[in-house]
Amino acid sequence: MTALGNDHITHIQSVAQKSRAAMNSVLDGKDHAVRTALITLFSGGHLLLEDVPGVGKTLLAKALGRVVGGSVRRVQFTPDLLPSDVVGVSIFNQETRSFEFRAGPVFANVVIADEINRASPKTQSAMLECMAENQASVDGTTYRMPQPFMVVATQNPVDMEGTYSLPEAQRDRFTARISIGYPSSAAEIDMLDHHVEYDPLAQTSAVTTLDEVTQARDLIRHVQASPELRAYVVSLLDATRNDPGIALGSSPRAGVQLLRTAKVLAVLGGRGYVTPDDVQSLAVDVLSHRIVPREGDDPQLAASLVGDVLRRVPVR
Amino acid sequence: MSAGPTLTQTPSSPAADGPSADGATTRHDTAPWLPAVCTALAMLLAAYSVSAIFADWAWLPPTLVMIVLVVGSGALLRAIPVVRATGSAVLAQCVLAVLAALYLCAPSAMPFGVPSPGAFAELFSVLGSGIDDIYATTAPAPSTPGFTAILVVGIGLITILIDGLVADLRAPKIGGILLLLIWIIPVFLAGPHLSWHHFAAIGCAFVVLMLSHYLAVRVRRAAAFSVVAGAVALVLGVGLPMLLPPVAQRPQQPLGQPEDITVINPFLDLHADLDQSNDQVVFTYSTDDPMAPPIRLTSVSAFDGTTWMPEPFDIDPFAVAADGLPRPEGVSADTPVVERSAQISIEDLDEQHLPAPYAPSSVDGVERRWIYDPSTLTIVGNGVLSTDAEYTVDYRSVEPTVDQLVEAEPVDGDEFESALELPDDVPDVIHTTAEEVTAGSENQWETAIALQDWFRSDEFEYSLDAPADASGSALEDFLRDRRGYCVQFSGAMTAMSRSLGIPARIGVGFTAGTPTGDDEYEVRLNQAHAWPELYFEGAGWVRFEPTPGGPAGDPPPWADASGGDEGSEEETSSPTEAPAEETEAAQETPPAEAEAEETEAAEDTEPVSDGAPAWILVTGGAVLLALLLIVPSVARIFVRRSRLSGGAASRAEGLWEEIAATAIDEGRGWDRSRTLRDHEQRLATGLESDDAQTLARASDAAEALRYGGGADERAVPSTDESTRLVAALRGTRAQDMGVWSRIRATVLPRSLVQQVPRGRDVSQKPAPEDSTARTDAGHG
Repeated sequence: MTALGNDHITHIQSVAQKSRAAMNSVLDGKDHAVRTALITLFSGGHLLLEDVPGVGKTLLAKALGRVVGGSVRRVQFTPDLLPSDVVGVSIFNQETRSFEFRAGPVFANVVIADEINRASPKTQSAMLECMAENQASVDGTTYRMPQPFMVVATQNPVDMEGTYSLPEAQRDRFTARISIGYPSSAAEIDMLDHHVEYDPLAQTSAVTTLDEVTQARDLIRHVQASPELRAYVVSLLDATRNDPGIALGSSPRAGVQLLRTAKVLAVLGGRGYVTPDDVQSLAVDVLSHRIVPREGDDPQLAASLVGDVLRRVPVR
Repeated sequence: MSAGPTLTQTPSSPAADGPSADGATTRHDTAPWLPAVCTALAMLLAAYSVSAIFADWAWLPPTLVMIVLVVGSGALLRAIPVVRATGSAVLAQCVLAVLAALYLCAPSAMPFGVPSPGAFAELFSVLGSGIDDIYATTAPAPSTPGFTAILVVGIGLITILIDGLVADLRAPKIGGILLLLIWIIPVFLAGPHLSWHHFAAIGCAFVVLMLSHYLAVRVRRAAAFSVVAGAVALVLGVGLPMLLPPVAQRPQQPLGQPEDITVINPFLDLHADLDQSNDQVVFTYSTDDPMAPPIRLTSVSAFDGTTWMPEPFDIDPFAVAADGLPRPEGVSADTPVVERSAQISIEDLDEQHLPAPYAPSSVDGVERRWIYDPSTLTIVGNGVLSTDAEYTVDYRSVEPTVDQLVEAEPVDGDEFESALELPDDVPDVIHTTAEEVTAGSENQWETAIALQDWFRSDEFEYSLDAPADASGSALEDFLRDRRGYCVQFSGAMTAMSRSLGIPARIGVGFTAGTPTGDDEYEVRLNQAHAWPELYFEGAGWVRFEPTPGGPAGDPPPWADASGGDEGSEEETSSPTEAPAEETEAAQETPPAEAEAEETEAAEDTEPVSDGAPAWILVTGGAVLLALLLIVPSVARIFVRRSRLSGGAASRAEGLWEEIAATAIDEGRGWDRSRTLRDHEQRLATGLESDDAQTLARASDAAEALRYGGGADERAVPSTDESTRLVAALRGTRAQDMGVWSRIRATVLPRSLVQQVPRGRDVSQKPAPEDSTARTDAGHG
């Protein structure tokens, strides 16, 4: 087991802070989204962005790829997109007389799955398999994803005609769901000033390396979660399952991912152990897209239900 | 990679894995009825300790019924889960107890087994009569209906409380405090009659109560410990006093009386006092009075056929002895009266009467709470005792001549009803013997002298082995056996004088004592004495001395028919008994017999003096109430101290427990779904920066301890810092709270009864390292 020392904590903290600062310079006033995106990255999860068009979903994803110095690929999901368009195909090479794998866009460090709900369920599931397994199988051959690997999927909540909204089981594979939201007036004025003249991404360079991120991911697993803390997480999950307003509660996987993200947050706070504060501050983002409220599948309703659970469950 | 200090140790306490981690609380009652049995047993034992108050056992059956009913119904009701969960058994018990109290104490008000409208009024009037009884009787007292009713209702109430504490709240310790309330009853009302077995009973009751839950859950070790501790305490409590030298028995005291003053009856103690072993000096005095009169405490004249008691008098708090006393009753202007004075210094006497020669005219050097009864010139402490008093008494020594007494007119019986009263059941032999002995007497003085001489003749023998009192039948025995001491001699002469129409009463006090130098005397306890005082027109109450031996001395000059026959056939009048004669020699014959009687008859103990018992009850009650009031806050202080002290780890958790408890005390509650950090930020507003820093360190430490496996000990706030912080937190919130809320938070801290959120149990040992990776392994 790799131990986590104070120097590691400090190092990861500084890497994360630099990344955060860099991304914040691209996305003015979107600190919460930036923070959650980075935490998801360091926890080894995937991110679901749900928001109206034009608020910077793609920009966020691209900035994320840029600061870690990794490759960024974007897939625009459409109803006619095929799994092979995402994963890649094996093509017969006449010269070598053998099949050759042409990797699809999913083989990148940060994959932007734009409007994932517009694709057919078949294509969606191919994508989701890559997310869950960190690998893709084409014609019996398994290809591993580059590391780190992170999918940032976006969903457009409006204009839902002819879409295949992600079912609960699929949403569960995303570590966190966030919406970016409209910028504040001041940030928007700034944006009009800067973004019209320059490409904000052009001024952003990598502040860390892929190796550093991978290493940090490994280290963060060793952040301590005391029995009390774990019991607290479980009682939160339990509360969502027993809540009369919730039709489907959180899965065990939700708990795992909640704890992972909480560990990241602990390190970002300079701690080698998780506190309930970490859990509480991430619970809404990590849990609310996984539960199904009894009345209407409204993200805000789900978020408020999770908030109620937080206010009800005693901290240990 | 090097391990970070906070990360390498991951204590995992097995108990912390589940919510009910508290090993001790996951107990299974193997015998849920045992606490009830223990409660009932404890109450029975406690009731036994109360028995010292009573002369009979009539009070016991209804008390038993009440205890069994309350505890039994409680046990049955609590067997119903809903009742147990809601704790509503106590309500049902209250209803049952009220009904039972009505049945047991006011049966006449329950014509058809149903409380009539007047039932409660009836019950209250019975209780009221009980209160009167308490004031009017001395322990051991007969268990009157009122007295019994008070006991039944009181014991019932305490049983309900203790049962609720033990069965619902599992707090037998607080129940034990209530047991002490019961113990206080016999201590106040029947202190002198308590013996070791009463103490043992209440002690056992306490131990049984403490054991209730241990027995039920069979925690053997704890039970054994409690038993041993309880037994040791009991043995020490019962045994040690028996090893100590006996302490002079204190005068019996009536329970109280309708006035705010209660009086003891020294007459009843004479027999005990006269024991030769009681040779401690009770007081010394100096006087230049050659007659050395006895030093009087009071006189008893109310005779009901059984007991001689002081005559009731109206307490007048403004009749202050220090302001001077009136001239003694019935002393005419031509009666020789000599002004004398005596300096008295009390050594060992806790009396409610002030010793003084008759007839005191003023007292210097005592508090103004010493008041006097104008008819007997008894000086009574209104809530004060004679303990260690030093004072000067000026007194009028009335020294009638024999001639004067001989010539005294017969008294008018109407004016002296009480001093002439003889109950119908007094044996005739008293009157007939009196007639025989005084046959031929021509006047009152001759009659008195005839009686005195008869008693002083060879026919009578001084003996402390006499029958025990001066009741009618005891006097009959005395006249037959002709053996006795001052109680019988004075009682018989007084009764016989009355039967012949001479107003008579018994003076009680001490003989003049033993000379220790020029005009100096010391008086010992066994020189207590009683003597008859006969009323002569013009001379007032005149002392005679029929007791032929013991500490009593010679008769006063006017009563000395042998040598002093000189002047007179009769001695008229020294108005009150003692003034004129005062030889130090007056020894007393012990009138002990009456003592036992008085206790029974004590219903109207005379208000002659002495306010102690009533005051003791009132002040004792007030003190008790105050003690009860401060018990919670004192307990709270101890809890606070224990939380804020101890090792770093327990201090870190204790501080938060205390902060939460304070919030609960203040009625604002403690949101347990908030994290420490969250609480810290809310609390920090309004704090001085020092305290805010302490608070931040406190949450750092507790967080590291709970979730990080260990805190840096140096970072944990010290006891002083913690105490300051808690005080500061209270301060920031005090201004938002009303006065009453603040008082309530202090006097009735809710955190004592409500559950306070507890942190990690720091006493548990950290388990071996627990791999956090395990959590991650589950990730699919």
